[in-house]
Amino acid sequence: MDIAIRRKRNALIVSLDGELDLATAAEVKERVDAALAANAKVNHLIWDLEKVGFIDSSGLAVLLGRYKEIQARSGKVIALRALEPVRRVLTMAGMERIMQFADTEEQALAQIGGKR
Amino acid sequence: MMETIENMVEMRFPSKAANIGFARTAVALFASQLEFTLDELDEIKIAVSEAVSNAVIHGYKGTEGEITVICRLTGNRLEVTVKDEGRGISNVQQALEPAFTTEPEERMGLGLVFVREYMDELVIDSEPGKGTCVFMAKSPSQTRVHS
Repeated sequence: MDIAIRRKRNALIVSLDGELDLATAAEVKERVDAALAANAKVNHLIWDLEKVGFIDSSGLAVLLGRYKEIQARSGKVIALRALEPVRRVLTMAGMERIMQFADTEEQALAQIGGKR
Repeated sequence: MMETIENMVEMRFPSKAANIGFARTAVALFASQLEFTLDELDEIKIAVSEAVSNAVIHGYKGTEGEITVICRLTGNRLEVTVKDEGRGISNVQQALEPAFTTEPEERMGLGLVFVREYMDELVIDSEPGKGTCVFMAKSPSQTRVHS
């Protein structure tokens, strides 16, 4: 799993490349938690899922766990460019209730109404 | 006339998380001998991933053991059995409940919900201390024949 994390305004953008399952969940969780801890002023989290071809409940647990942290920061969680198979799983798990979907980074940033 | 394929593959591997991706991909490749749609193959992948993950996380929690995955094609039906010789489940009915999890901090309790949603049939046979056997079956929707 390749993980790239960058900050834009008050959002953390996490780009994942690989399959999000039990084998990769721990690494993603650690990297994102460390980035959130190091960026106290960040209150939104954007998951760029364009290169994630597979997700199961272990992967969903990673997304849900970080949602709790973002909720504590009164922020939003966005799923950016989720491919159809991944989107179907997110929808089936009811993740639409806790995260919004976006097709472009601009759209995602507009949805969180990020402050500069 | 529907072609009847009879085929079988058995895989055995140590309960390492790194093997989960191999197992689900191998089962999906095997399943593609039937007329499953791409969406259905994705569903099979998820179901296998959940069953094998459960064996790694719960069956052999903190230890390493052997996981066996057996795939069968019988007529127009895929059957997948995932077996471990781990700790077993004391209450299978409870384990099948949505959102039930033994690790609420990290897990969502959705694994078996996915298996039930995505497969036509799910049977769990488990005994504490002896291991768990998860049987799943699915037929392609396009050519599904009900007798």
